[in-house]
Amino acid sequence: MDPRDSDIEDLPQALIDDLEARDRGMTLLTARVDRHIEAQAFAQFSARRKRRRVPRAAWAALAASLLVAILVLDRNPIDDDMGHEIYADLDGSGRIDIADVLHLARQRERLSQEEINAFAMKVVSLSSWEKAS
Amino acid sequence: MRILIASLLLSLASSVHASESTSFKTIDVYLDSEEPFAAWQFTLADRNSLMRVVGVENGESPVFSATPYYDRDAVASGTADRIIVADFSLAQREQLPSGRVRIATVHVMLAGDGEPDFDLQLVTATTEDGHIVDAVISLESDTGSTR
Repeated sequence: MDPRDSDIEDLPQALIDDLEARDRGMTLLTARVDRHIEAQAFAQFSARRKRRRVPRAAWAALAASLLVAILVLDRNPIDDDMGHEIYADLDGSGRIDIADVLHLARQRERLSQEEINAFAMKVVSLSSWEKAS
Repeated sequence: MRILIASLLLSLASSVHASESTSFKTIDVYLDSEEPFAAWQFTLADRNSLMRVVGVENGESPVFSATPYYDRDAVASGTADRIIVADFSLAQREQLPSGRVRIATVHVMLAGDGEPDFDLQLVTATTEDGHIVDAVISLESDTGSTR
């Protein structure tokens, strides 16, 4: 007789019955069950990866929107506080040239030197060649 | 086959010859105005398409002491086969220049054996209050003067 059995017999009968009941109810993980659990886990984590792609798409959309905004602002004149264009034919000569920059520099002293320089650089940009000549 | 080889040698020789004939010149641009001027703008091109602008510097007037405005990106990238140059000053009328004044010097690279045919146009020149002055623009270069 296994000495451990004699030890078990010394235990209270209620505990012995409970342990025997738990032993009978033990679940065996067969290979089929293991594959099933693995498949479920794979499906679960795959779904999580798909959900993470949504924020990436949102970031891409935000970046695209910012790029469009930058391009639009770059192509359009800057407005002053009253909504008037400041990079424009201010002296009414029929074209935008350095005289408009001088006009702006004299009339809009609150503008920064950087803004004045930006206007002047637009005037001399070779992309404005057709307007200048 | 002989014709093909001869053509290749001819094109190679011409390209080598063209690279050897590259030269650099300075073009002084003058504005002549009886009235004192506070702003000016000109365009410079080469009708023979030999010119590449490689730099622009200020002229002789103390009120236009900074480098004028021009398309620095185009010049830096070597694509400026023409140029728009301009500047203005907020100095008082009595400080503004008049008469024949060198307003800028344009440095150009010329490719090929031909002579450039510079096309200099005054876009505008104004007084300090924005009135257009009756001015004449001209240039002096190593290859001659143009008005």
